[in-house]
Amino acid sequence: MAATILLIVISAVFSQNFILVKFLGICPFLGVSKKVNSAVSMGIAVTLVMVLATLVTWPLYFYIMVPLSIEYLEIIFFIFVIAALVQMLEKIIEKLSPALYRSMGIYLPLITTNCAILGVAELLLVNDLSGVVTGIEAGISMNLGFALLYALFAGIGFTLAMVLMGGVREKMEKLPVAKCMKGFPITMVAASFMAMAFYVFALL
Amino acid sequence: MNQKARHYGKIAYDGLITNNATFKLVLGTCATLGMSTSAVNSFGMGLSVTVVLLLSNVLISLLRKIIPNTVRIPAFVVIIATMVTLLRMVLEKYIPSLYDSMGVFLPLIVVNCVILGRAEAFASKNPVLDSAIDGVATGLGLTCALTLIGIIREFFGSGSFFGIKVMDFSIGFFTNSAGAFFVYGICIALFVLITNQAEKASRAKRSRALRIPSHAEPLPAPDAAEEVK
Amino acid sequence: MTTKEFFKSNAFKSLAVLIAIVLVAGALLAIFNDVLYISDEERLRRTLSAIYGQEVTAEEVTLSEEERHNNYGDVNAAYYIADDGNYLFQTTGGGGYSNGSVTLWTVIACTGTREAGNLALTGIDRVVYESNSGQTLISSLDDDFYAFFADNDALVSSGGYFTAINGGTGDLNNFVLNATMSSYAASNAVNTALACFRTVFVTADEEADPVEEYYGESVAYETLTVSETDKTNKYGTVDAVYFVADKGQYLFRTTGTGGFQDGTVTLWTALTADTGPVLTGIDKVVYISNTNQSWMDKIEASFYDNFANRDALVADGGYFFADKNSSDELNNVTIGASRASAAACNAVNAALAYFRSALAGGEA
Repeated sequence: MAATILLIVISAVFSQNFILVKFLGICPFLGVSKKVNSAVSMGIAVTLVMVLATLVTWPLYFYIMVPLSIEYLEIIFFIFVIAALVQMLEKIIEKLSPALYRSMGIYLPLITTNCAILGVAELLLVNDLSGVVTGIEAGISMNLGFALLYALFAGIGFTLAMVLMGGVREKMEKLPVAKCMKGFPITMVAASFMAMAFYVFALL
Repeated sequence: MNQKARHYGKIAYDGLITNNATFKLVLGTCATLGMSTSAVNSFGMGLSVTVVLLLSNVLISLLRKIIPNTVRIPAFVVIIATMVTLLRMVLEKYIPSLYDSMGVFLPLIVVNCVILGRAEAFASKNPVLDSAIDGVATGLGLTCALTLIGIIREFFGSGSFFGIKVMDFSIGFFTNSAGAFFVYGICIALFVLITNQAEKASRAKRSRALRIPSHAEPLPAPDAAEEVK
Repeated sequence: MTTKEFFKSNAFKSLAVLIAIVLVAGALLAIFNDVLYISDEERLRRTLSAIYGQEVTAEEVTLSEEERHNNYGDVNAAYYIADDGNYLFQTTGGGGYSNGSVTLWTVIACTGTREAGNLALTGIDRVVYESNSGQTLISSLDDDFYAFFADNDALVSSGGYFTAINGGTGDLNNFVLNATMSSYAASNAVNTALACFRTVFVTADEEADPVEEYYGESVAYETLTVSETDKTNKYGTVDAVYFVADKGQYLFRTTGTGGFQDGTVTLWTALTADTGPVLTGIDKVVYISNTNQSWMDKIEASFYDNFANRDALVADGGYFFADKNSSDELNNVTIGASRASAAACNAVNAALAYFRSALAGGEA
């Protein structure tokens, strides 16, 4: 059990990192990683929505859609759930803590069209844990607990990549870079080096 | 008639080059990075996005006067999601190999910023034909860019071109995620470099075109009265 | 706000449009889902044509729960391919890295038909990878590895099974360095298909007269019932005993234990006896099969002949043993394959022990 949990954590955070290995959620990775602070806020917001979305979509799919055999409506349902969740979260945060809303709330509307959220909901639609977690033995059936754990650590892996990138970009701002490499190109090349480092985890 | 053709031409040129989704706007990056391991995959992904773009642009343009402004985003998302689901069914039935290789990136076309972006910025404000042309042009611009990245990664990664072995070497770097970021970054840089050069050249040409007559016909002497003023 | 006003309000209009769009979208998808539905047969047809590279007609062969499992792994599905008369198996072999497994498609080439009862295995047509669990180095198994299974038809048709032992020298040893565990699981998957085919499908072969096959001629014999109490002894098990009166011989098929990796060796042992019956010696020992004995092929014909050349000691009640440091007359060992030798000695001993306990008629 402990080994299973450890494998889920390692896989979700490092070897199958959503941004650097799976290429999910690249838009915020490029757009909101100019500063470490904003990267952290975005990461936390994404992690929160990822866990909440999984909490709703996973049972929705396996306990309602599969018995009714309406799996083909999965994309519509999921995107609706995510949009509704984001909207609700925005309102709740605005009411509860205006300060938090100012630092995090502005990223929430962006999250609806973040592939990492829909991606985690879609990826977790497997019956066997080995379908999402690498290096794990087959035969451990998926359940809501594992799904939530995976979503949580996928979000943490997302935040980690965001923060690392934020740090790199803060330093890079001051570097002299060829005109055509400014902006996206140099960020992509930096991401390439980070992806190389994360690739090592996939070899373990 | 001529003016109309020029109007449609401009929409197409904007979608293909000036607002190229992949290289200029850098939208829909997840699919670009994830699906460009081979030329065939990226071509398939590009065409899939093009089909969804065309259908959703046309539908949204048709319904633009019916959909109230307050619920337009959810309505667009439902329309796009429906088109993606349809595409998914068709691919699973008729092109299973592409369906398999696209994996999770197929449903993720729904959240591809390019599609919602075009719906919001263009289709919801323009007539059907314009929206259709915009959809196809944007889609093809994306397809070309994706295929280019796919060709580069496939060639260096496995020494083949559209699945046909042309050289006996392989560089693992290009097939994994680090290579995807690297090639994409370099491609954007080259695109920026080329379009900047082209722009500079055309600007130089335009200013030359303005200056030549000024040499042929000497400027009229300044009016004395004006000088006093 | 009155009801009428509500129906005219913007909120109602927005909601109505949204609901209408969702309903139309849902209905559209439901229709297309029906039209584009992919049946299970269609899925199977796709998988099969991917394996064969062309369209084939296949019919599933139903197997009982018992027939689905053997020593090597599990049979997930078996199909008869009408186009070429071959059989296709999807099997999962265990024993891979971190207790994982490898699932493969194996096309078994054969002649004859099951109905006519003359089905005979001629080899393996192809092996195609399907899936794995926990095999992180599965990609190391290259095309050559899978091709090996199909390139050894002579050995496969004569009853061999594949092994995957680093340093093993068997002709059917097939492994990829650094991925020996995955290789082992893959070999097991192929062996599962072979074992299933041999035991479940080829019933005709089992029916063939084993004694006739052994002597190479037609002889009159009597099949003796193996007594349940003496069937298993400390050397191994007695699978079958035949009494050939014309030759004064008792023919045993026995399986000796204690081989490499707890494997076994199965042999024919023909014991000679005078009336009584009184054991006088061993006529001939012939190799049948083994499990897990990767160095079996190191054992040469002289090893089996040794058993037949110790008649005096055998008649005296001796048992064979395999000890590479002993020079005893009853020691019979092939250096480098001492565990397999031990299992072979045990197979012969099992026959001797059975004769002595269950057949020998009192004192000589």
